[in-house]
Amino acid sequence: MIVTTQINGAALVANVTAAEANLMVADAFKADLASLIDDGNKLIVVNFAAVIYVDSSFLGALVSGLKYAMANQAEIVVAGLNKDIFGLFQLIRLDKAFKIFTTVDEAAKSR
Amino acid sequence: MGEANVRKQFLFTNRADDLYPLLTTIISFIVGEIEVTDDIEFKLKVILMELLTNSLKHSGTEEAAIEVALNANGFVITKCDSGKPLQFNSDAGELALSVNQSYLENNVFDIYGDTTCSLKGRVNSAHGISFFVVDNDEPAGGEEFKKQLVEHYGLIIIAKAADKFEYRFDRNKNVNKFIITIFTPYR
Repeated sequence: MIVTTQINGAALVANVTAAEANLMVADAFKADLASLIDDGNKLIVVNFAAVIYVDSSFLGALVSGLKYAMANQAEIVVAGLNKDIFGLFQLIRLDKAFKIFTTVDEAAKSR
Repeated sequence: MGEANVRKQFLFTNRADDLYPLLTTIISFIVGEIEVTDDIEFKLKVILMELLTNSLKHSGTEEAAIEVALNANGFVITKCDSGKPLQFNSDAGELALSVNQSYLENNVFDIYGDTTCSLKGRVNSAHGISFFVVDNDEPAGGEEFKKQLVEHYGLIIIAKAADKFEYRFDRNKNVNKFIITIFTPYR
């Protein structure tokens, strides 16, 4: 697992532990998300607070997780993006696909 | 673009552990040479990140060279490697096969895309293409939009952050060149 998890209200928070969220951890992240969805979690907050940067591979894994979540009536939202990561979401318009929250607490109350 | 005032080459070992340190080295070099806006620094970062990631994934060689050239008009970043030449299949998720002539329309072919944008290639010569992105109308959101999202963003990120993004294959030297230009002048 490259995420650690904790319950926050109705949400499961998945903290990305890799500071460099890149292709070396993208497959593991994708598998982690699928596993959390398979466990029946309906609102997953992916917390990027410990992440310095993300690359396209990791974003692809996140989108893959989003699609899998939708197929299972679950939702993935994101929190804790630094300025560059938020800029990247905006650049490729993933800010239209994910609800983005400043903090995990805000995200956990979103449903 | 005029003659480069500053030009420096960096070698990438194509090892994942070396990617971020090299990225910060190159960015430090650039901001040490000239003052850039936050927006340009962001674009340089994501372009370099994806160029290096692309090299790691696709070049299949031990080393790639990244050259940064700066002049009064902006930046040219060139990545060279001696891996296999890029090949395309219009509906493949990633670069796969040679450009199929049947996909070409006015020398332009679709690479991939979704309801937010489409990545396209324009054939410039027998061994050169330009990548560009066409943004679709503001995505409405909703389930269908999300279901159709692509999962491959590397080339889209570079094409959106750059003013020009070209690929050339030098047949004689067996060298792939990715050439990225940002025209924005320095602050």
